[in-house]
Amino acid sequence: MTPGGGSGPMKDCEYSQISTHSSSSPMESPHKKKKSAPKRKWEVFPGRNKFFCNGRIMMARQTGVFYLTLVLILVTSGLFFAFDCPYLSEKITPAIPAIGGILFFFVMGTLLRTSFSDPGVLPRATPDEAADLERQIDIANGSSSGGYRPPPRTKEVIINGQTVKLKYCFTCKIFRPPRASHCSLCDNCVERFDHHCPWVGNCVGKRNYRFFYMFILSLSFLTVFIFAFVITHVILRSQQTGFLNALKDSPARYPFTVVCFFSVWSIVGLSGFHTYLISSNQTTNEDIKGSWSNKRGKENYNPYSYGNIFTNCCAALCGPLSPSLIDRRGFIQPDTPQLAGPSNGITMYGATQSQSNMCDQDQCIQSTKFVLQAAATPLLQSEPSITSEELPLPGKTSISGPCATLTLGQPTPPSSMPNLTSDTGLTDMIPLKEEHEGHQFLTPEEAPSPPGMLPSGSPITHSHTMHVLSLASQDSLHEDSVRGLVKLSSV
Amino acid sequence: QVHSLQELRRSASLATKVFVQRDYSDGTTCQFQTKFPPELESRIERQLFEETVKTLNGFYAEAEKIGGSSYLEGCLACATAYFIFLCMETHYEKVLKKISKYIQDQNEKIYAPRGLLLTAPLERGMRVIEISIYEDRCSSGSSSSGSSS
Repeated sequence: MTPGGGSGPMKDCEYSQISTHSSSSPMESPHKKKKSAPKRKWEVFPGRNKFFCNGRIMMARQTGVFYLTLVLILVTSGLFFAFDCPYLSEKITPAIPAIGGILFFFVMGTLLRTSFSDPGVLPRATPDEAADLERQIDIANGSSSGGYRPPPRTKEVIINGQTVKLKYCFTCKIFRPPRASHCSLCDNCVERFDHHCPWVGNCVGKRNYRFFYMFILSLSFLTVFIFAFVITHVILRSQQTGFLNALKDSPARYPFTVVCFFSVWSIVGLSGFHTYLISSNQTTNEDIKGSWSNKRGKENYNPYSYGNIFTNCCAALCGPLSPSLIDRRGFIQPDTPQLAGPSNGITMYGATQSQSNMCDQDQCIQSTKFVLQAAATPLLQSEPSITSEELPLPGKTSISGPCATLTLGQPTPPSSMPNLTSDTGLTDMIPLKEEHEGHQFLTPEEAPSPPGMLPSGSPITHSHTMHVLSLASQDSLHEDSVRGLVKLSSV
Repeated sequence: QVHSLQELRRSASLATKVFVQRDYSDGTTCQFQTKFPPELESRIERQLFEETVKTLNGFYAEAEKIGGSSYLEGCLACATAYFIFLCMETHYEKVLKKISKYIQDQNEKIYAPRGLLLTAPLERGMRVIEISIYEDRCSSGSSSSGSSS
């Protein structure tokens, strides 16, 4: 695991992988950064993600299966264009390679968009926010007697008439918004979490769900297209030269055709499943848990659904695209509070509204305003660069295998997974996560674990707690306020 | 007496932060609670605060509005395989710019003179509106500790 020490000038598209998992260097580097060049936020990102191209591209840690997907699509399509298209464009129409080409580029574009974009990761709570929440939870639980373990941290909200429970995430120290979920593979809370797809090497969430859906839909068309025309090619040739002779031409591609055949069924099935999910405005996560099914009770319905299929589809696919909340490419602001910054050209802020009753002396009022003016401007001008979507690189195709079989076929706890080592790792994680939902909660994230993926149990939760604490320690301004809060709360 | 610049900078300190949480009663759309935090009781008028939050809620509702123009944008983007986002910024981003301008404006006009500072929700993961409460470290020591709960 390479520690994130790339503090020198970064060339574009230079691969610099960050692994902040149980590594002590991200905690030390913020202290060093005053001397070295300012770091970008992705370099100290606490989740288990990989970043490329200086933060423009974001993926999950395990990307092996993604490369397999690329290879499959690329090779199958390449063989199709090389061997079948010349014959077919002569014999039938040149529109065949043209349509195939368009489909191919669409598949690649959407695949890369899905894989490289931020699925809707929620940034972890700042130390102040976490402290404030803790205080409120303690107040809420305050009257309960010590001696038994306090109940799990949940909050209930009523959304469109349905009672929804918001759970507290111990890793991210936030109450998760409705429909958000914590992906244990990426160790992030993701908004509108659908599932973690190893075939695209990323989580599928609010911001990339439409790309994912377009990907599997266009891939279904592409695979059906390729398969149909390969069959057509063989048939036409065998009419000329006989069946066996037709098969002898470039026999190497027939294994890929077989792959194509099997993937057609799984991908078409997956597309159908996601079409159903979109039209009922559910996530894979909710469907697997049966959150809104009638079996839970007659009064149970989906509060997020717009009521009709058309609106649900439009909202999911054509709705507004929210910006990334994690600001990967922003620079980490210096720790010293803006109060102590250089003051070129800062004018006295002579506000006339002196309704504040902070201080009797005029000088104090003026000084506060002055300082706040100085504070406000840099704070507000350092807007996080709202990253528009990542650059989809020119693509290679692959036939992605069945996400469905990984997500759907594993409603039981991960013990059914073939990879035994990952079982123990995952089951180890269950009690450590302190999640009282147990298996039900963890299943959608645990199930599609890529082969060989082994989250190593306890160090994760501890290391991330340490990350949060280290962020607190580096920020002296926040430290002051946290101390202040502690003092205030102890009154 | 004229305070030196250093002294002025040191004379205000962060006392505490108040967090205005999200209001999920309408679903997952971004709305904030208009409940007035007790810590701000002595700092700012209730009506001003509520107006700020309501305006922000209006902006976010506008950003997330699902209607004709957002459909058009979505379909156009899909047709170009989403390459169009390389040249054009989304409707949401345009509204976010308006929001940051509004917050800066509010800070300058209303909040800073009262020793408060709003932080845009975008910087806090769209979870909270963070309001920092500053206090003067006046030499007279008469800083009000009204920010304590």
